[in-house]
Amino acid sequence: MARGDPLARPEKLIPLVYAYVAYRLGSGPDADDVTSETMEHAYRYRERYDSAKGEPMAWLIGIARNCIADLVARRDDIVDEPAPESVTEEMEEQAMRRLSLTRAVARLDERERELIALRYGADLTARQIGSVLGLRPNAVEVALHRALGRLRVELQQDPSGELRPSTSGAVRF
Amino acid sequence: MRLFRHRTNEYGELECQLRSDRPRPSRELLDQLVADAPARPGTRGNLVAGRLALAGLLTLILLGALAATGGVGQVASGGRFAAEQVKAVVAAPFTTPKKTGSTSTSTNAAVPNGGSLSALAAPADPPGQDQYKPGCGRGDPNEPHTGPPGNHNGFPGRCPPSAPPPVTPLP
Repeated sequence: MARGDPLARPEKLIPLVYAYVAYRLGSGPDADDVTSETMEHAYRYRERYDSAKGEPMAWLIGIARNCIADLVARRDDIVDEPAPESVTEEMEEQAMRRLSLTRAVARLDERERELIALRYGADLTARQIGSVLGLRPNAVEVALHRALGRLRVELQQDPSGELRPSTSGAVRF
Repeated sequence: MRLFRHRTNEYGELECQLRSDRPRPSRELLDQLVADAPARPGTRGNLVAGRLALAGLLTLILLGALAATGGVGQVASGGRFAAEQVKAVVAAPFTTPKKTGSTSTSTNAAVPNGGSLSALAAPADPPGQDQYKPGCGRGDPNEPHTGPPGNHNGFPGRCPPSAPPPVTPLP
């Protein structure tokens, strides 16, 4: 049974859910749709939230993961890369950096991308990530360290932010 | 410890960039999703439960104050007296009215709803009269003797009919 309202402050939670989904799928309509679907499910089943089982953010991320899995099951042609954005000479350095980062994250394999999304998108701790993925916290830390190393390599190899063909294939969970 | 610190600082800049440059929802999407949040269903129920709890607490305080001042016993005795009065009024029409003699000073009288005023005023004979049973030859020398009980010749209507003799079973 519900103990406490997990959605007492949705304006704080929605950006984190969106960041997680966007790190997984890339910013765009898919991220919007999955975030909306996640919040709709959360609003509908908020009474089922049990604070003894985890934080509200971890509960929301569990819903988001199911929504992403449903989306992938519906669409076999899902693309790992984010939607191409127009890169112009006038684009600010920060926007270029953000775009480069998003593309580098998209080139990671699904496990590393999941870890990056949970840690830096949803702002979960290693213990919370461990409860979501069924791992021990130190195993999460090690895997995160490895994923950051891969991400740095990707950023160094592609500093211009140009699109590269995906190597990880469709997202599967 | 040094290794751990080295590991955590190794990607510090990258971690900061991942957090600061994390994708953000559009303003429209965020506003729409926040506006779609329904009011929590349990809010009204909690309010009602709180009011009921407050009412119960006040009732307990009142009962405690009454018990401390002996008010409970007083209220109970008053309630018992009222219940007895109501019972006497309600039960009176279903009981046989007591017949008294012609010279009796009983206050028994019929009431419009079939009840009896004696039920309200004097359910029993006063102590000054119940040891004297005047009239109809029932042992009072001050009353005209008309013969055996039930024989009211010469005094029609003054004495009640006598009870039928008891039936003795045949051997």
